[in-house]
Amino acid sequence: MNRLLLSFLGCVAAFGFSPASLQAAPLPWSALKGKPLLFVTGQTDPGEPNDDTLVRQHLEQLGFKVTTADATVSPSAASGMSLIVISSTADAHDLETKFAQTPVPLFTWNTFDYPNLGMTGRQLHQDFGIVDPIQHYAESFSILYGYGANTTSAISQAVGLKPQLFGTLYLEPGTIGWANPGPGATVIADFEGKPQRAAVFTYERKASLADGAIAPARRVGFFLADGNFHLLTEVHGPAANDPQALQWAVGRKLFDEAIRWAASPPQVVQPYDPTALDTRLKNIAHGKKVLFVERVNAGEGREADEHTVAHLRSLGFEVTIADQTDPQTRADGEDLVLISSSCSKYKLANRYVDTTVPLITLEGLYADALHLAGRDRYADYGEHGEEKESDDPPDNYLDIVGAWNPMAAGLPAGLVKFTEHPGVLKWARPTPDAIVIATLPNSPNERAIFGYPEHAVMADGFIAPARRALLPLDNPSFDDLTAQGHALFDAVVLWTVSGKSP
Amino acid sequence: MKGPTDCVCSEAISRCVGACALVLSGWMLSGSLRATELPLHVSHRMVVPSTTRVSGIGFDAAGAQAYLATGAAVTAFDATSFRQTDSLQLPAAAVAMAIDQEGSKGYAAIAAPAELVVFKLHPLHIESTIPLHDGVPAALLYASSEHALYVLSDASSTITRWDAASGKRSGQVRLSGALGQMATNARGTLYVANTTANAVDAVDEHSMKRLGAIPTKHCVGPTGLAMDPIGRRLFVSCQDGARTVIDTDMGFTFESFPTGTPGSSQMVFAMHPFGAGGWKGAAFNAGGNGELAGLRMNAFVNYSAGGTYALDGKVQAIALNVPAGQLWLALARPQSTTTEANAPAQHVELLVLTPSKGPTP
Repeated sequence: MNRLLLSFLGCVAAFGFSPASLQAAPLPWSALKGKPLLFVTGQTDPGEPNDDTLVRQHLEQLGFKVTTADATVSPSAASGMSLIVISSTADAHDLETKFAQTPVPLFTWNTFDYPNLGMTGRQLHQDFGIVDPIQHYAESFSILYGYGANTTSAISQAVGLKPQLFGTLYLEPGTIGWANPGPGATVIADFEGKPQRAAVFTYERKASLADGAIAPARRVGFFLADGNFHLLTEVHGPAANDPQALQWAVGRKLFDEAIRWAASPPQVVQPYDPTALDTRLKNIAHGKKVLFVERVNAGEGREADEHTVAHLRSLGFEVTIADQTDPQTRADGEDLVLISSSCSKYKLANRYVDTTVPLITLEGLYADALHLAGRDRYADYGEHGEEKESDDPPDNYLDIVGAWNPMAAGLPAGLVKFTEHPGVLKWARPTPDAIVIATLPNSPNERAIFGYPEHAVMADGFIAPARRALLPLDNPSFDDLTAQGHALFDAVVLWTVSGKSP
Repeated sequence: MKGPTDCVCSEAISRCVGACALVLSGWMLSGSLRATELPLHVSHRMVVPSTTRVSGIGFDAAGAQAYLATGAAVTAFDATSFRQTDSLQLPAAAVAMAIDQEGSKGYAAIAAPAELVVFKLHPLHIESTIPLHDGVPAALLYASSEHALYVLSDASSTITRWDAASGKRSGQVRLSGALGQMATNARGTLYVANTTANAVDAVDEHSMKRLGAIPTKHCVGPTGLAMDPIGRRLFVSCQDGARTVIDTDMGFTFESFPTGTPGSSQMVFAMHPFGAGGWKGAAFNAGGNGELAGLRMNAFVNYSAGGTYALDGKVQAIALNVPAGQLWLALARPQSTTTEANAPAQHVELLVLTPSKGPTP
């Protein structure tokens, strides 16, 4: 390693990015040349279309060294492979759960195998399903249209996916598989703008799968069926000079980039180490300015606000306090806006919605105003444990589903004690462009910690002017945080105030 | 629909075996591809009164007169009685011929000297000659939408545009690779099969600038090219025997019939080629491999293999006479298979195919 690179990596570490996080970028195609790939296929009935041969040829053209096997293959066949690719032609009943815990990245369009792999629940028509022209003739036309659900993931960026319609398959009524993946998944593209009808979705290594297991390696679900690989959209000739046509016909590009992402090294996760996290945060905090927005002289929560500010100052941040009614211009020149849950949504009056300063809100009920979630209170956002405002009892645990991301502070997937005592916990349902770190226990759709990268598409189509994060820290819970809860607080602050990479 | 193993051998075993092989290997991409014999029969056959190559077949707008360029002559036939009605002596042997049906004009490209001969159809007579300075011509296309002629020169790898009305050269594009058949979409784009590049090159007809290339996926060595009259479906035949259908709006190959009998071929397409009650549309290709193959348009987005027809010779020219419901082929035949006792040792026959009884194409 040369001196320049060492120096660069030193700077990266000092500012809160681990070198590991940089490795999460997909490998160049040249680096995938010669990588061994296990392609699991099956037979189709005579006369039924089967594109497995074409897929194999394509994978070989991409540079992979492909070994083909059928669904009865031993799980040990995956040993040494860089990627497992499972076709819908393989019999899902023969596949069973044999690759569920295989620590090899896996790319599949075998919809019925999704539950075997833990990528969805087990309920057909609810957790996953198939649309085909015989059973669902009208719907088999609607699936020709996908929607860019996520614009900031590595796959989305490589494809240039936008929050708009695109052509999935060429213009014939088609067969596809859809999925309603778990909260640990990233939905890249969906049908009809419904994330619960995911067309392309991924699980990063260490993300929580739908069945609660932890993804042993990257996982990708793709909407294809037996015989329509050759219909994945792409554009050539004069049409390729038209930017709209290029952005429309991205089916094949999605396939390729999802393959590339799956076969690339996963995000490296720093282990849970509050001291190391504290050091990283201190390194980046020095010279950074935080605007702490609170209800000045609040009754309940005043002490917690003071302690929150003291903590930030102890890390090296220069903290300025603003009242909830102060003008938004108070954020000018700041590096982070932190909205305390002592604030009143009513008095905040849409302040900081469009600030270009990274922002964390501890007040979950402000989620709709900030475009963190939709507008339907108790459906798009809400709270547990607030008397008269919630049917749900107070809680003090969170369920980590995004253990792969630095915002999870290295905590493992599963339940983590967030505060010492049960209390109010806020939640919201962000768009698929958010990185979901934690949900409320037993409520996978109620996301408690999440962040939007800069330029992410938030609710109402609002584009994130800078990073945005929700941390469900009701007043006066800061003083009740567990060590793990503190780590989560620090990790979310670190992520939000850091640079632009997700 | 029958499966790929339901080959029906109604005639020659060899034809059926070949067709079945085509189906089995082609099933992967196009479930509708199956071994069938094209529902056509030879309704007329005659020896062409020349021993030299037929370089073009064309028809007048009514489909009443057929024009055949062979050697240094253009001969007119009545398309019903097949009697010769007229003839025209060209300055030299033609390498290609094109007909402007609306203008009742014909164009013959001759190689030595390199010239474009403009002739009137009724009666046949030469109207003018235009010297070609861009290399020896190899192919010719008349684009009625542009009233333009495109002259392809293999030697210079160029396509030159000529204004049909003024006879003036109005542009040229140089392409790399061995070029095959040309077609236009009537909306300003010229397409040309690029055999060595495994692509169809697209050229702006006005600027004569190359707009890009459409790879001929699953089709190696494209030679034949035909466009539907709307200008959105491009039919390609390749040297490996494959045929594909391209949506030119996206440059996307959405139908592939991967395996046929290898060989270079030309392609023609027409909507309702044999009348309103028959196929919605059909593309036929034939060439040196002794086979006529058809693609059937079931819908604008759906095609199936229409079948094949074994020919006892190499096809030199192919053309559809839609008003008359005829498919014309010029076939180079060896003497041993000729039906004419006094035919020359190697000669050319003209075959006119029309629908068989039963399923009408």
